[in-house]
Amino acid sequence: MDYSLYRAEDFAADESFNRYYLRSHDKDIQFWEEWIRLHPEKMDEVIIAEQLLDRLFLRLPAEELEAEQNRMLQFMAQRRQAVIAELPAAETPAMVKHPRKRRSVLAWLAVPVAAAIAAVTVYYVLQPKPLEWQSYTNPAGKRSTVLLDDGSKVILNAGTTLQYHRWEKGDSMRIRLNGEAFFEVSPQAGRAFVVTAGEVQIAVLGTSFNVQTPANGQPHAIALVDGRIRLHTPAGDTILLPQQQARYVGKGTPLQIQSFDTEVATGWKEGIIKWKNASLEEVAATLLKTWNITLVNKSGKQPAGYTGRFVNTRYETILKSYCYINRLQYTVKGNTIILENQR
Amino acid sequence: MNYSNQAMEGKLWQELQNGNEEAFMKLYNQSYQVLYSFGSRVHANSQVVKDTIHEMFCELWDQHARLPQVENVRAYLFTYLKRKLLREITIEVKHHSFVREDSSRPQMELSYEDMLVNLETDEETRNRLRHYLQKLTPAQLQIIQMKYYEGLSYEQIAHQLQLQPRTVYNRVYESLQLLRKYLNLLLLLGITLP
Repeated sequence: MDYSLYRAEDFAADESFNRYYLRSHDKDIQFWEEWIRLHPEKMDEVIIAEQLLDRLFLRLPAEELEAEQNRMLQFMAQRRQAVIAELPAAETPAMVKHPRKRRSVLAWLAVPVAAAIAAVTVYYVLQPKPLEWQSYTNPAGKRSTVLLDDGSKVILNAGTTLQYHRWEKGDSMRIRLNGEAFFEVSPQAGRAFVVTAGEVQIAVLGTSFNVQTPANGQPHAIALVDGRIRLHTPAGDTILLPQQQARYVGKGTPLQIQSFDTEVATGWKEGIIKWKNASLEEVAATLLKTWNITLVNKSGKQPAGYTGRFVNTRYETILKSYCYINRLQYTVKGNTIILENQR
Repeated sequence: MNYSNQAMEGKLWQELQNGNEEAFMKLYNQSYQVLYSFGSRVHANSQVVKDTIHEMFCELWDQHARLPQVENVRAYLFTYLKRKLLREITIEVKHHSFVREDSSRPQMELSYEDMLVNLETDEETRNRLRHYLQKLTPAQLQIIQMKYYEGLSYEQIAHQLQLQPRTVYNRVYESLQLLRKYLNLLLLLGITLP
């Protein structure tokens, strides 16, 4: 059988390819994995075939499945910690959130936990309190939600590291961030919540905002959704109001304040990638951050400003759309994607 | 599912009862997609289906020592999930909290066409897909449902409908060509494939 003339429809209609897709027969899985490896030029058609089958079989697409698996693995890791330490929230501040969980399954731990917390408190009253930094790193291609001890919620974008410390009622909360995160700070009157993001410090009272530290040639960007925050940079202090975004290029230059499109700035939380008239550099920075892939432009031309919106997409879809509009074509070489003029 | 799969899942279930994490994740990975498509038949909102499956597995793990002996693991999981999803629907109806952009209500009986449309994330795309699906003849729609939803082979469909297998294949192929046109349109519009 010569499959090299197959189009996506042929693959999707082929019963052996279906069994490969459903991973139901080892023989078909082996055959198609090998065949696809030997025919990289058919990759586009295979991807479209899988997208057709995702729909027809009512399946969860691969990257969403991966996100669900990660959610499950995080839950398992958390349970493991809780069991070993017999100390939930206080000892493991990175409680990854489980939406819509109505009962605390940790209730049975209550008694030993209370005793342990009491012991820890006594220890801390006697000792001057050093900040014990703990770190949580989110790899490329993944989003996760971290609940802090004070009830604040932080959604981390891919490739982001968050450092935090233990917290007790009345304490101020200090956070260090490298990457991009969306904060929903729980209102706790009379205490400080401070995020240090590179050269910028953000002081907060009950508010939600998005922070992006400089990466891949993009500057600091802090977008305030509601509430009020004070920014401290080497250039001085500024108060940010809702729907304002501050960009800081570094080296003590003044902050640039502008309005922002909520989806462009914070859509990543819902898996939305949106660009408005974006340069190739901005598109490349997002691809690098989200999927750890590097775009190399070998077309010799500077593509026009790019506008597009994607929800929980694969990067292939973005690349196809981007190339189509700019009359480019792309080739994948490991983690690098090369853009060239269409032949 | 064939017999050996069922036996293997029974083994995984026993190991889960003993608190074996690896066995638990294996069971999760093996059954996720079938549970998801089963769940999509019960509840129209894919986020609710994902959350409910996640919750179900969290509960299974937390109660692993108290889980019952199960004859057919997959059937047990289906029933478990269905019960949880139906409870979701009852809660939504009681509190009228399930307000969606398209204001459609979760239904007990969804057609295959509805289920395909419901996978789309926004109203505009759902309308676009519905437009394309309406170009399919009832016979074509029935055949792709038998092929992909009921999981029948071309032979089986041909036998049931008294058609030549080649004809069945051609109907499927035409439907796929149409759906591909729809995917191409999404790509041109820069809309994402969920």
